[in-house]
Order: sequence, then structure tokens, then C-alpha cells
Amino acid sequence: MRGIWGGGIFLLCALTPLSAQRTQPVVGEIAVALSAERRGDLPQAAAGFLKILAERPGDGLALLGASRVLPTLDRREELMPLLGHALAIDTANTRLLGLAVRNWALLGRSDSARVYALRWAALFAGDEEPFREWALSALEIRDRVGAKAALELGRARIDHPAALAPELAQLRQAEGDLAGATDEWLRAVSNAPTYLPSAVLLLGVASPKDQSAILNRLKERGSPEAHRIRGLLRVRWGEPEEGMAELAAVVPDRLEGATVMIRLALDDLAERRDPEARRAAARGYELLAAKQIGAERLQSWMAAASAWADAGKESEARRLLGLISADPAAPADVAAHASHTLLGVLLAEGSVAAAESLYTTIEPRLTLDERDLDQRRLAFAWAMRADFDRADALLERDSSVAGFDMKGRVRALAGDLSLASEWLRLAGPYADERLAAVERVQLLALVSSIGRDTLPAFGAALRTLEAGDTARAITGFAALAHGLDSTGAAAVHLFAADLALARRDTATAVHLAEAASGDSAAASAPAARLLRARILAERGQVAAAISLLESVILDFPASAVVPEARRLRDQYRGAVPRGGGG
Amino acid sequence: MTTRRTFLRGATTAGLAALWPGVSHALRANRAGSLLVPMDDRQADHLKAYGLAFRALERGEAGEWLLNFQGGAFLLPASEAATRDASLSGVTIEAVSALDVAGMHAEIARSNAEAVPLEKVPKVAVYAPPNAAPWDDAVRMALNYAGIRYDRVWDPEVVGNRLREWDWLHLHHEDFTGQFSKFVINNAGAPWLQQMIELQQSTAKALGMPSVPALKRAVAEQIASFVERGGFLFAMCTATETLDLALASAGTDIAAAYADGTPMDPQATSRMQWDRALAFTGAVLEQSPSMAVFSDIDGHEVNGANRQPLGAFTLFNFSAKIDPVPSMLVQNHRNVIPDFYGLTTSFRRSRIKPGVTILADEPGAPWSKYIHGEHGEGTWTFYGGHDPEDPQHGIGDAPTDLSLHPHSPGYRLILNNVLFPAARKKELKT
Repeated sequence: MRGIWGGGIFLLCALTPLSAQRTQPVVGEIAVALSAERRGDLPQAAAGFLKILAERPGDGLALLGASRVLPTLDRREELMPLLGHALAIDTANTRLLGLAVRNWALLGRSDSARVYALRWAALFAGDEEPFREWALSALEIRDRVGAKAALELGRARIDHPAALAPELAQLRQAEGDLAGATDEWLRAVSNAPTYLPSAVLLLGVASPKDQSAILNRLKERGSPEAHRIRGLLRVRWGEPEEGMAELAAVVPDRLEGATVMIRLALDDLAERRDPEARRAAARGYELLAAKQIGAERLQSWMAAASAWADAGKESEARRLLGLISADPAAPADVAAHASHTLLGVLLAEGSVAAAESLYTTIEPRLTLDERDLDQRRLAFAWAMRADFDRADALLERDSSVAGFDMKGRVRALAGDLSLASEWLRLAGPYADERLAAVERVQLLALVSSIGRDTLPAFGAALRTLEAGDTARAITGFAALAHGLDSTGAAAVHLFAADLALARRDTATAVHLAEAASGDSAAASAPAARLLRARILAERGQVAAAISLLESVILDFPASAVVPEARRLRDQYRGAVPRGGGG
Repeated sequence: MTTRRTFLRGATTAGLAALWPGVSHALRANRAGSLLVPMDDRQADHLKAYGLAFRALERGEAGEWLLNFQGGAFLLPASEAATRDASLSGVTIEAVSALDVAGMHAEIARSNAEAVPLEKVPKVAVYAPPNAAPWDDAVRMALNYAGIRYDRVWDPEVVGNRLREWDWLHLHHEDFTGQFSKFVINNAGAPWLQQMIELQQSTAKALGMPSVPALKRAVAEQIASFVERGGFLFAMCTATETLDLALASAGTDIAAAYADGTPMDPQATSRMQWDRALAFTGAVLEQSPSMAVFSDIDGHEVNGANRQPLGAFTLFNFSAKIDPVPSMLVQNHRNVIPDFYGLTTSFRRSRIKPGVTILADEPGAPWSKYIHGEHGEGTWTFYGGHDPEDPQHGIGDAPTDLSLHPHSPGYRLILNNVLFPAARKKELKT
């Protein structure tokens, strides 16, 4: 709790000489006592400080030394008369008054703490510090009643509705008075907007069952500050779009305030990748951009465009990227990056010619990596449109592993299986990200086992699959398998069955897996059995699936699918996380 | 329940072996043949090899653990079941004749190695909340992956004095100070945190405890009693540090206000009773309720202002014949292991009690990683860090898939602890 209540005053650090000592230097004695304190000989240090104070009750250094040492020795009571004597000499010394308030409160003597707090407050009308010091000290000994008394007395004595509001808010919240806490935070934020993050942080810990009460209270209050807190809490509590919409209506005029508010919401959304959160983040960045100028605005637009693209809103992303590309003030690298992103958006929309045209324009400004990546993306897009010559031309000079990989994929999309095998083999099984490498190896295995140099129907089915029409692709693969030899047919049937299983069409998967077994040649038997095990697991027959996998491992110990069989067995037995590790 | 004392008493056969290896080992190995499970770089799946040995014990096939021999190999009786199990698990085994076994024993007798009989299947319990998925607990992951059966226990079983039903107890990242791992302020509003708090508070209420810190202290006391009666305790991550803090804080409030309604006692550090703790002494407690650091026991303070970078820790090489217990705990095919963070990552040496055995530390650094000691009739082992194969582990990270780390030397240390109570060790000479 002390951390929440942070911001207390540390009077002991302020070692300014008190007025009583200025004319009477006591360097020798105080030096001995301080030295004892530094050595850790606290009883001797205490004796030294007390000796000085017996002679000179107003000695500030000795008093501060005693206030450090005596409580550690569990002799805090002895400090109080010393403070009383010093305050009799120097009645308006706020440091001494602070020490008195703190130590009386730490002794649990609220009545005495109150006396000194009022005496201190009388010196500076409207100062919250005496009451805050009393409350914080009371809380250090877990005296919540004393703390509450201090804060409420302070609120009553200070003629300001937001006096001690953050402290009272936390006290109310600790007592379970969420409505009271909400009102206090509202007062605090209305008075000083810099309290907005604290209000959201601390109200944000409310349990789900209390959240609606807080939101309703803020709605009732209806002020811009109330809507700011409410919007941020809704973002935090799982209503990102609604929360951001509420914030959009109450963006502070000043850039600093607007930035703090919107950044708070964006920080809460930073870890979420779901479309709803990304849409909310995109709106947040746009709100921010509306308040900014120059490079900062461009960065916010870029972030918004990226968020819109992540959320599948290509048109919104295009709108912003167009703004950035057209901004004459945009630095070259920012504009190029925006154009590069825009190219991706155009390709996602299917506007390949427009994308290539944009690429031709921006090519000189792209980095080498961006240029290679864009060329590969364009090549793939042309291949998907069966314009293989244009695809090949774009890849002609690309001798990277990713380039070989794309050349192989383009040839596979064309049904040119011989060249596809060659390029995929050149790309190898290890480079790139693991998932891409695995996909490449699977494609290579498939085209190699078909046993034909060219098979346009395969390319067509693969394009259908890449276009996202899995059902029609499965039909295409099943149809072309009939014209192949048994090994090729089994491989294609297994591939199609795998696709069917991935879309949870188990009936088709079973049918295709049986066809693969029927075609079977010994080489595909373990793979077919593995697939049947996956189908069984998909149908909830986990024990049977495990049994089938064990037969794969035991009957075909030299098969390449054995590691996968062991892995699936581990997954079905709960030995490793399902789908993990990828 | 097997206790440290009982397995230390069962010394005769193994004791003779050290003096006259040919006779006793030949007696033990007088079978139709044996299966050697190498644990050096020839092994295809080090972690599953422990499960293979464990399941052999479950079938009544007593074997041997060959300490400091081929990476801590296992010798199992040749059986169809073991062969099938190894094939299904992908564990490397080698059929060896009685003559081969005699040769191995002779080599063991003349080197810093030892053959320890594995005889009894330890009853294993893991302390974990009922809603905890296995993927955030390195020990449960290791046990699941190796295929070692275990029971789950939590506060009701522990407070209900039921720990005596198990031989081996594991604790992972439980916060025994009852402060919800001190995540409350910095992760405010996170659903997983709310769920954790509600579960802990409702459990405390159901068990008649005034607060979660009070409940966790009662649990810590029961766990200490379990060890005192002869149990084997293995703890990782923050369970190590907070268990001792809970034990030492009897009568002192060391919990933040969000946990029990009152702030931590400002004098708590000076009021700790370290004689009640298992491993640590003289620690300074972290006063800030928002900083996810408990004390200065942890040398790394992953969430603190003095966060230290990760290095690598080195396993100590013990004399297998003289110190079989620590030898068992450090069997590995790697001697130097990359370090990994946890809410408690390491143990500052200046805070470790005298007499505690250091099993691994980082040379040149002021902390140890892996320590072991005795308490009453039982033993405890503390291993800092959260997940040996996820060194920067953060909340919400994807679960570790051990099939991608079958040779993990960090996970082997966990499994050494699981198998250690199965061993019948000869009387220690030191």
C-alpha cells in the first residue's frame, strides 16, 4: 500500500541547519555521534545526539540524528519530548512540525498528530502536506482509521473540492467504496489532468463484478474527464472500439494531454493482435495524428495504416498510405516505406497491375531487401493470375534462397513439376523461417512423388488452393490423382486428405485417406496410417488414434514419418502442448 | 514413504559393491541380458529416458543408475516391455550382455563413478492450483513429456495434512508470501490476475484462513513438516525464495496491503526468524508492493532495478562414491548450461545458510543456481529460474514444447530430482 500512496515527504533528508544552531556550532560532538551512526553503533550515536540535545534543545542536526536513530532502537517515545522542546524554541519550523506529525502518527497517537498537523496547516493555508504526512505515516503502521481521519480533516480544512483527492480515492477504493473512489479520482483528474494515468491504473484493478458500477458512475457524471477515464477503462476492460469511440469525443485540446490519453489506450492495446483491438488501435493512432504535425504525424499515420491492414481494412490502410506518399514533407525513407506497405495492400486487394506500376515508381527509393521482397510478392501475384512469364521475369536476377523458393513455387503453380523440384531443392530445407522451410519441403516431397515432368492440372489446383478455395482445390487434386501411378496418386490423395482434415471435413478426409491406402504402395502406408490417426483424433477417438500411431512407430521404424508419429502421440497424450512448438 | 534415513540405511549390497564389484554387480546383472540407456550424446531423447527408467520401475524391473558413466546412463533389465517403450518414446537403448555389464561395473569401480540401484517407484506430487495449465510449470512439462505419473495437490490437501501420502513434492512459481507474485499493481486489470486472486481468496476463505498470506504461511509450514518427516522437496523459481520467506516470517506481516489489507511491517527485515527457513538467512526484504521482487536472495532481480544479465551456470563434479546424492542431482551430458530467468532466478551466496550444498553456480558471479540441503529426515533441492528452455520467459508466452528440446540439460536437472528418491544409496562417507 505504501507504494500506491507514494509521494510522501522525506523530511529527514532536508538537513538544513535550524535557526537555533546557527550561532552555536557543535562540530566536534555531532561529528562523533554521526560517526557512530555511520559505523552502525546506534546506541552510542543515540547517546551522543541526546547529550547534545540536553545542552541545546534546538540543535537541528542532533534532532534529526535522534529522529533517525531512536526509532530504529525502538525508542521512538524518547524522541517526542525532544521535538516538543525544539518546537517551543522554534515554533514555526515546518521541518520540526513534520517530524512531530510523522512520529506521533507512527506511535499511533492520532490526537497528538492532529494537533501538530493543524499547527503546521495554520502556517500555510491550503497546504495539503500536513494532512498527507499524517495519513501516510498512519498507513505505515496500518492505521487506516488514522489515515482516513487525517485526509478527511484535510479535505474539510482546505477550501478546495479536490484537496487530497488522489489519496482519498485510494482510501475509498481500499475500503470497497468504488463509487466514492470514482468520484475522488474524477475530482483529482478535473483539477490536475496529470492524474489521469493514476486514476486509470488504480481503478483498472477493480474486479469484473465491480467494473460496471464504476462505468455507470462515470457515465452519470458525464464530464469530459469522466468520459476520458471511462473510455480508457473500457479499452482496458475489453471494449476497445467502444472505449476508443468514447475517447474520440473528448480528446483534450492540448497536444500533451491528448498524447497522454491516447497513448494510455494504445499501450493497453499493444499486446492484442485481434481485429477488434487493431481497429481500435488504428483509430487511436489517427486521433493522435490529428493532433500532430511533421514526422510525428507521419509516424502515427504509418502505425494507423499498419493497424488497419492487420485488421483486414485495406481501404483504410490505402487511404493513409496515400496521404503519406503524397506528403511533400515526408522524408524519403518514410515515403518509401509507406509505398512499400501500400504495395502489399494493393496486392492483397488483387490490383496486381497497379501494384507493379507503383513498384516501378518507388523502386529507386527502396532498400535492396525491400526491392527483392516486393519483386517476389509481385511474381507470386502474377503467377496466381497464370501470367508465368511476367513472374519469371521479375525473379530472373534473384539468386537468394527466398528467390529460389519463389521460383520453385511459381513453377509449381504453372504445373512445371520438374523445374519446381529443381528450384525447391536448390532452396534447401533449412533457410528462411521454420514454417516456410517446412512448407517448402512438403511441396518438394509432393511434386517429386507425382512422377511427371509437367502436370498443368496440378498447377491449377495449387492456384485454387493458394487463392483460398480449399474445397475446390481438394476436388481438383482428387481428380488429377486418378491419372497418376500408384505412388503419385497416393501422395496426392494424402495431400488432399490433409487439406480436408485441416478444414475439419473429416468425411472427405477419410474418403481420401482410404483412397491413399488403396493406392498404397508400401512407401505411403505409414503416412496414410498417420493421417488416419489424425482423423480419429479429430473425431475425438484419441485412444484409437494413439494406438494407430504406435503401430506406425513399431511397424515402420525406419519410416520418415515416425518422428511426426511420436510427436502426435505426445500431443494426444498431453505430453506436449497441442499445436505448440511451431 | 521412503525417507532419506531409510534409503541411507539400505546400504549393504551397494556398500559391498565398492569393495568387491565383480561379485555384487555380477549378481545384480545375472539376467538374460540388460538394456543400457546411454545418457551421453548418443541418446536421442534424454528427457524421455527418465520416463523409460521410471516406467520400468513401475513394472517391477529394478535397474541401476550409473552415475558419472556415459552421462549418467541407466541399466535396465532386458524386457519386451522396455524395448517397446523405448521404441515408442524414441529413446536410444543398447542391448548388452552380462559380460558387457560386468565390464561396465569394473570400469565404474575404478573411476569416479558409481552404480546406484533403482528400486522403488516414488510417489510424486506437484503443488499447483486446480486451474493451472501444465505449460507454465517446468516440472509438470518435464513429467508429462517423460511420461512420469504424478498427482496434483493444492492448498486443501496440504492444509488437510495429506502430504504424507507422497514421497516427492514439487513446487514451482507459487508465491508463498501470498502476494500474488506481486503482480497486482503492474498487471492490474489483467483477467488472469483477477482469476488468480479470486481463486486464492476463495480458497483461503473456504479453509477458514483470514487472508491469502495466512493460508500460504500455513501451507509453507506443512511443506516444511513434510520434509522434516522425510519427504523429498524440489522447488523452482519463486517457490524457493518465498517458501523460506513465509517460514521465516512467522508472526511478522511481510505482505502488501492488497494481499491482507495491511501494509508490510516496516521492520519486517529485522524481525525475520531465519532459523525456521530451509536454505536462506539474513535476507533484506523488498518493501515496495509494486516491485515484483521479494528480497535480496535473488541475485538477478528480473523485475527489479538491479536486473542482472543472464550468463551460464556450471554443475559441480562430485565424487560419485562418496557423495552419491549430489552426484545424482547433477548427472548431465553438459557441464555448462545457459542460465534462464525466473521471478527468482538465482540465490545470492551471501544469503545461503552454511552447510547447504551448492550443486551449480555461475563462476565469478555472487550467486548460485542450484542448491541442496537436508531438513530433519528429508531433503530439499532448490533450482532457480522458470523454464530452462525459455530463458526470457514472460507472462503469456507460447508454451514450451519439449519435443523440440529432447536433450535439454536444464530440464535433465529437474528429472534427476524426480528419479533421485527411487535410488537406494549407500551410506555417505562424508
